[in-house]
Amino acid sequence: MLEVHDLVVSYDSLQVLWGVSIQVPEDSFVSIIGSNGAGKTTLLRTISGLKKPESGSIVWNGMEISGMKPDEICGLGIIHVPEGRHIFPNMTVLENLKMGAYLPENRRRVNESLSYVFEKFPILAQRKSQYAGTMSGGEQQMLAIARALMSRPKLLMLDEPSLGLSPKMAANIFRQLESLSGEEGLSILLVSQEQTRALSLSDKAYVMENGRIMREAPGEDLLKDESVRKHYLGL
Amino acid sequence: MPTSFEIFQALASGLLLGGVYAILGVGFGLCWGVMKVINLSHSTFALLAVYIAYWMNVSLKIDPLVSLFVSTPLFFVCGIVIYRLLIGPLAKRAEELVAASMVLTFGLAILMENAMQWAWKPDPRVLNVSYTGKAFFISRVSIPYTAVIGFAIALVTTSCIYLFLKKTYLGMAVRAVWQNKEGAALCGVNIDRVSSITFGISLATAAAAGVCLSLIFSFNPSSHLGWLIYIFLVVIFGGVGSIPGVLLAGLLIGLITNISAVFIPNAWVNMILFGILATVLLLRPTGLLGQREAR
Amino acid sequence: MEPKQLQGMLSRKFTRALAVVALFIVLAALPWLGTKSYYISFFFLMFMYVSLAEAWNVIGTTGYLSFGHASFFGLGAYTTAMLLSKLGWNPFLTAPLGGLLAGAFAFLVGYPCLRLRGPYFALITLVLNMALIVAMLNFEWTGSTVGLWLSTLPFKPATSRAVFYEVMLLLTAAILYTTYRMWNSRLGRGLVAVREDEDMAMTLGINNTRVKMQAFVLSAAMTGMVGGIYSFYRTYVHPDLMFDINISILVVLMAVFGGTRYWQGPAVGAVILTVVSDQLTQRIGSEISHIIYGLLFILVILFLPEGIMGLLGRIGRKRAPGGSQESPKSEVDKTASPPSVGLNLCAEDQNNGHQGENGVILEVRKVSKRFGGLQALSDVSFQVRKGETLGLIGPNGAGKTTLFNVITGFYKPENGNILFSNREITGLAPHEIARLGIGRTFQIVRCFPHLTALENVAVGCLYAGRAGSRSEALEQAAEILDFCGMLSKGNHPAGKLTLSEKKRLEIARALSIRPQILLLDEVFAGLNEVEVVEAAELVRRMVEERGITVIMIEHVMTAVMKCSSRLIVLDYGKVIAEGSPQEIVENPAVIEAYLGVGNA
Repeated sequence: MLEVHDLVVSYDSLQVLWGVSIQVPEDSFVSIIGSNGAGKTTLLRTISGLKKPESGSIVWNGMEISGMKPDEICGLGIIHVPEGRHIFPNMTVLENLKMGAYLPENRRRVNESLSYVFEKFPILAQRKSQYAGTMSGGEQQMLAIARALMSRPKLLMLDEPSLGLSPKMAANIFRQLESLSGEEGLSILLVSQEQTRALSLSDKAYVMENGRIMREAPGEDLLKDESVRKHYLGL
Repeated sequence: MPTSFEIFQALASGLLLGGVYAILGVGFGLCWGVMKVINLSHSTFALLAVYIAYWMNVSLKIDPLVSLFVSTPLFFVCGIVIYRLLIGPLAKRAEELVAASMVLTFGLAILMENAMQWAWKPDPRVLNVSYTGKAFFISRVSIPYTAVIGFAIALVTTSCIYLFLKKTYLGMAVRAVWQNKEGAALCGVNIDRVSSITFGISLATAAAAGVCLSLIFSFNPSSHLGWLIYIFLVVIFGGVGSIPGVLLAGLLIGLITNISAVFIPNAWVNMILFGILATVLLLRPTGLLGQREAR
Repeated sequence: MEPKQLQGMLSRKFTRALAVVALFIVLAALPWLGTKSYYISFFFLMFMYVSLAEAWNVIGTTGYLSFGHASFFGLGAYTTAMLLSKLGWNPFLTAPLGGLLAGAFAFLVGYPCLRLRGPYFALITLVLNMALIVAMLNFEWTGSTVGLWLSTLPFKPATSRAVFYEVMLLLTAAILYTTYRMWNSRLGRGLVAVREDEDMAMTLGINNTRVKMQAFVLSAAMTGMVGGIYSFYRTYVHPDLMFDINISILVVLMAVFGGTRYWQGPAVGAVILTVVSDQLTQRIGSEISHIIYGLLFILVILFLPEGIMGLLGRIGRKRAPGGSQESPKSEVDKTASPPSVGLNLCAEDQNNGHQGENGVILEVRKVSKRFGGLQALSDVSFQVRKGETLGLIGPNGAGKTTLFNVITGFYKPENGNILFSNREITGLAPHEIARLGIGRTFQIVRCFPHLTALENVAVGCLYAGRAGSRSEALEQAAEILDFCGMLSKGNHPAGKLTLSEKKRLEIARALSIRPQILLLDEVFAGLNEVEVVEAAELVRRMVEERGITVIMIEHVMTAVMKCSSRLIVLDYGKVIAEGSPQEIVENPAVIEAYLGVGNA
C-alpha cells in the first residue's frame, strides 16, 4: 500500500536519512525501532509531507506522493499523529475532533465519525466541551488519536504515542492500538521507544540506525533475536 | 464643572468612536495571533482606504459607503497577494518572525505613505458628504449620523468575524493554525491558504475601518501613525486573540478619551490612556481578556 | 597551547588593534585635511547612528526590541539643552549627565516594562516614547511646543563642525569599546542566555531581571549621551525633533539590518543604511527615494532575515564546516582535552553540620498550590536525605512537575514551606535557589539552541558555578561535559544535537551550577531501552562519585526501579504512598492509580 524507496532527507547540511526503503502492506501493523536520532521521526514527517525529501520516492497505492503538501497527503488517508500530540489547547474537545474531519469528504460524515470515536473513547464524550489544553497528558494523547480517526485514515502513523504517560495510561494506549489494528482497511505504522510492546504487536518491524534501515523481520522474530534484545531491548 | 449634558454627549461620541478602534484592533490582532505577524502597515491600509473613498467621492461623486464595496474586496485580494509575495516567504525564512515582520511591514508603511504623498500631496483633507455635520437628537444629546454609521459598520464587521471564527470550518481552521500550525497541517488544513485568507480578511477589515475613519476625521498621508497607536492600545488592552476583549477595549478607549477630554485639556488625554495601559499591562500582561500563553 | 600558536595569536591581536587605531587616526584627521563640509556633517550623522544602533543592541540582542529608544535620546538632549540654556553649562561636559538621567529614567520604567515579553515590550516602549512627546509638548518649563534655541559654539562654522565631528567620533569609539567589552563579559553571556531561553537562564543562577535591567540602563545611558551632543549640534530642541519616533524605528531597522546577534551587526547596518539613504536622497527626490527606501527594507528582511552579519556568518560557516557560530574556535580547542585535575562538581559543603537530623537536606512541609479551580498540590510533605535518589512517580497531571516548579521557585505555593539544609527557601526567586545549589532539568528538553554544547554548560559555570572568568568557565564546562560523555560534541550547536544528546546536555547544564540536589524531570522519556540504561548509569555515577542528591520524576519503571533508593507516589496532588521501590510496586493503591495491573 505504501512503499518508500531510497529516501534521502537532510536538515540544513546534516543528512538524516540515507536511502531508506520500507513497505507497509494493506491491513498490517508495522513498527520501526531504533535509537534516538536514528531518523524515525524524520521518516514519518517526510511521509506526511511536513518535510521535503531530497531524493527517493514515496508511493501510495501506485501514486507518487513525495513532495506533496501535508494537507494533500492527509486527503489521501495517510494520517500522522505526531510526537508531542499537537492538539489545539484553546479549542474544545469537540472542536478538536471536528478539525480532524476538516477535509470536505470527511466533513460530510462528521456525525457518523463522532459517534464512532466517542464509542471508542468514552472519556472524550464526557469531556466534549472541555478545553483540550486542560486535559491530562493521557487524555490529550487519546484526543490526538481520536482526531486522527476522524480523518478516516487508511494508514495511521503514530510517533511515540506513549511518551510521558504513566505505565497504566501507556498500556491503555497500546490496547487501543491493538484493537484498532484489527479493524478492516486500517494499517498502522508505529514509532515507539517502548520497543518490546511495539514489536509484540507488529506483523513486521524495521530496525533503523543512523538514518538507514538495518533489518526487516516479523516483530516476533526480532523479539527473539539475540542482538536486537541486547542493543534495543536492554535484556 | 462640566454639565451632565456634556458628559452624555462625550459618552455617546466616545462609544461610537470606540467601535471604529475595535475594528482596527480586531484585524490587527487576527494577523498577530494567527501568523505571529505584527503588521505595522495595518493603519496605513486603513488610510489607503480613506484616500480611495476620498478620491471616488471627489472625482466620481460616489458615496464613501459605496466605496466600501470596492475597497473591501480589493483589499481582501490585496492581502492574499501580499501574503503570497511577502509574508509567506518571510515566515518560512525568518527565525524571529515578530521582529522581522515589524521591519517588513514598516517598510511597507513607509512605501505606501510616500506613494500616497506623491499621489495626493501632503495637505490635510476632509471628506464632505451630504450627511457630514448632520445629527439627530436623543433628548438634547446630538448624535452625528456619520458616527452612527461608523459604529454600525464596526459592529457588523466584528460580529461577522466572531461568527466566522466560531461557526465555520474555515474559521475553526484559522484558530487551529493559530494554536498549533503543525497539528492543523496534519488535519488537512492548507496552512498557506488559511494564512493568506486571514491576511486578506485582516486587510478587508482595515478597509472597513478606513471608510469609517474618513467620515469622522480629517486626514493626511501620515495620519496612519497616530492611528497605529490606538490599534496598539486596543489590542494590548483587550488581549491578542480575544475578539470580545478587543471590542470591549475599543469601546472603553473611545469612552475614556472622550470623557476625559471633558475634564482635562485635550493634550493630556493621551497621557491618561498611556497611564491606564501601563497599569493594565502591569496587572495582566496578556491584556484584559487575553489568553495566558501556555508554558 | 604551543608557544608558536600563542605568538601567532598575539600578533594577530596586535595587528588588529593597530588597524583599529590607524582607522581612528585617519577618521580623526579628516576635518583637517580639507574634506568637504558636507561629508563632515554626513559622517557626524553616520557616527551618531552607529552609536545609537550599538547602544540599542545592548538590550536589543536579548530579543527585547525597544521601539522607543528616542525617549532616552530626547531625555539626554533635553537635559543638556536645559543645563545650557538655564545655567550656561557646556553640553560637551554635561552630556554624561544627560546619559545619567536617561539611565535613571530607564531604571524607573525598566521594572514594569521588562516584565513584558516579546511584542508587548516593543509596543510598550513605543507607547512610552509617544507619551513622552505628549508630556514634553505640554511642559512649559522646557519650552513646550515652541522648543528651545541653544547658543552655538564660538567658532567659525567650519571649525565648529569639525569640533562636533571629533566629539562624536570620540563618543562613538567609546561606545563601541564599551559594547565590545560587555559582549565578552559575564553580563554579555547572561544576555545571550536570556535571549535564548529565559526560564532556563534562571535555573543557572542568572538573575534575569537584574541582567536585563543592567543592559537596559546601560543602553539608555549611552543613547542619552549621544542625544546630549546632538541637541547642541542642532542648536534647537523640540519634542517632535528630539523624541522623534522615526529615530526609534530607524535604530531598530539598522540593528536588525546588520544582525542583532552579532556585536558588529548594528554598526554595520548603520553605516550601510546611512550611506544608502544619503545617496538615494541626493540622486532622486525625497518621496521617490523614500519609496525605494521602504522597498529596500522589505527586500532586505525578506532575503537576509538574520541581517548582513548573519549572511556573512553563513558564508563563513560554509567555508569552515563544523565550526561553531558564536565561540571562537581557539577557545574550544584549548579545552578539548579535559584538565587533569578533577574539579569538585558539587557545591562546597558549607552547610555541613547545619544539616537536619538524619542528614535531611530538603524538606517539603504541607505545600499546597492551586491554579484557578484546580488543586495541583495539597498538603504535600516529604523529606529528602542527603545522598539518596528519590523517585517521584504518579499519573499524568498528578502535580509532579508543579512540585518541581514550587521547589525551584518558579511557582509560589499558597501554603507550606520548603527547607533546604534547614534554611527556609519558600518564596525565593529561581536564580537564588539555583545559586544555593538546587539544579533542575526540564520535562520538555530545552537548551540554548544557538550556543555550542560547551557554551551551554559554561553559562551556568559563570553564574551559579561562580567561575572567575570565561576561560575558567569553559574549562569547568569541558570537565562536566566529559563527565557526561559529551565532550566530543562540545563544538556542536546545541540545537542540532539528537534527543539523547540533548538530555545528556541538559544534565550537564544542571551540573554546571554545582548542585547539591538535582531535580530531574523525565530525563529518560523518549530514550530507548539501551539509552535508558546508559542514562541511568550516568545518574548513578552522579550520586556515587559526586555525592549529589537526586529527585527524579520518571515514568520509565525499569529506570525508576534501578536508580531510586526510595519512591514517592503522587496522585491528584497528594502523596498516596512512600517507600522502597519494592514496597511501592506491590502497593494496591499505586497499582490502581498508576501502574495498572501487570505493567510494572
